[in-house]
Amino acid sequence: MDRKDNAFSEKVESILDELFAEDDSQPDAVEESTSIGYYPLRFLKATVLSIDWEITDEIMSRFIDQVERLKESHKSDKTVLPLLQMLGSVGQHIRIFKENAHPNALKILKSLYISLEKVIITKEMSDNEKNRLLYREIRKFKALKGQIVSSNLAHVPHKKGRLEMPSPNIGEASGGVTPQTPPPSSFSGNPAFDRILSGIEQLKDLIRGEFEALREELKR
Amino acid sequence: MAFINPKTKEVQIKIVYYGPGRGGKTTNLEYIFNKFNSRIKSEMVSLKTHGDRTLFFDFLPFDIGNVLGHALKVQLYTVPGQVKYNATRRVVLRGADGIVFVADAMRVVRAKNILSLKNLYENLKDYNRSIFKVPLVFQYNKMDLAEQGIPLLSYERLEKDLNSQLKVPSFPASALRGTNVAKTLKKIITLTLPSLQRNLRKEVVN
Repeated sequence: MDRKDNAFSEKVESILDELFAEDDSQPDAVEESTSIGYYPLRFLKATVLSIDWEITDEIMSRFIDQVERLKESHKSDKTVLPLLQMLGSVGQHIRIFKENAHPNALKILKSLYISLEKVIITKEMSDNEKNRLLYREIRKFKALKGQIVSSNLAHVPHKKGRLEMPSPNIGEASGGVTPQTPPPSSFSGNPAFDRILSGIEQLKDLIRGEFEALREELKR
Repeated sequence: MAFINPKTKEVQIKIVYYGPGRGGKTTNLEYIFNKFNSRIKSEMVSLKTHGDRTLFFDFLPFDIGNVLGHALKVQLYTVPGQVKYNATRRVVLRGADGIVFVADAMRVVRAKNILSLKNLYENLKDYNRSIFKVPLVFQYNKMDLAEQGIPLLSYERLEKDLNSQLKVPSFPASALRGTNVAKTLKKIITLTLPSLQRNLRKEVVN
């Protein structure tokens, strides 16, 4: 019986070796090269990975601090700065709402970080490529804003400060986080009315942002 | 226990990837699927929740082929790592022939690895199974992050934290790059073979 067992095991092992033999080519799933000596985003990356794991006030404050610091050191970079502004805004949203943040917020945060990393690390990246990347991220960011506005209008129960969605003026060098205060209302006892008013404010903000971005694009 | 169909001579081996949330369980399956799909010819099923987290499980079945008259099929499952999904973890764990515990090598999640292993121990106990007897392999994932200056637990530290009593095979790995992903899988399948053979013998006797 032992001999039979061995034959069985050997046969399975040889099939497995054949099935999972690895050549030198990398799989499609591998996303990035990591031949990095000095890594300029190491602290931000560590924080982004921590956010992926757990959202706490401490981690989010650290994240915002690091983004602010990077903003200062890249204030004249027309691609990096807007990316950092959007990162900061999404970070603020997650910091405020934590586990109730919009489901796509973490995804967008990660996508923004990956683009930022690409722009900073890839030395031979052309301006055209950078702009394409930036616009792609702006589109995603705007879509997220739209989703947040519509989900708030549709069914998010009203809470004090619930709709304080940071709304950066993306595409603008001077843009940044402009936290919104809930609209002053004499109907504050009526949650439905408050929700509508807050929604209108968010829509106004979204339209304002769209116009600003459009103006920027026309200038270019 | 492996599912054996004596009529069709089909044997199914269930492997469960267990471990803390965001540790790389799904990435393991994705790597296997992407890298070896031309050979295993399978489909991967994933049920995600918002933020791309595993809601119920990921599932990747494939055929090993015919071995001494038996058609061997392997089913890979992941469990959701988040603490709140323990009921789902227990369900997926049921009937597992082998377990790959995917630990996260990042220093910040050290405690979560230990908690998740404890959770595995308890969930197995609920099925009257001992963690000391179940075929088990440790995979210490995300080792590649060291190159980016992210503080990691050393291999020795992870061994001490998780494997000092169990003393099962373990691999430092990077599921994203595929380092030791296939090795881990091969090892856990191999570890399930003795009990599979015992069950096959019982089938023959019956």
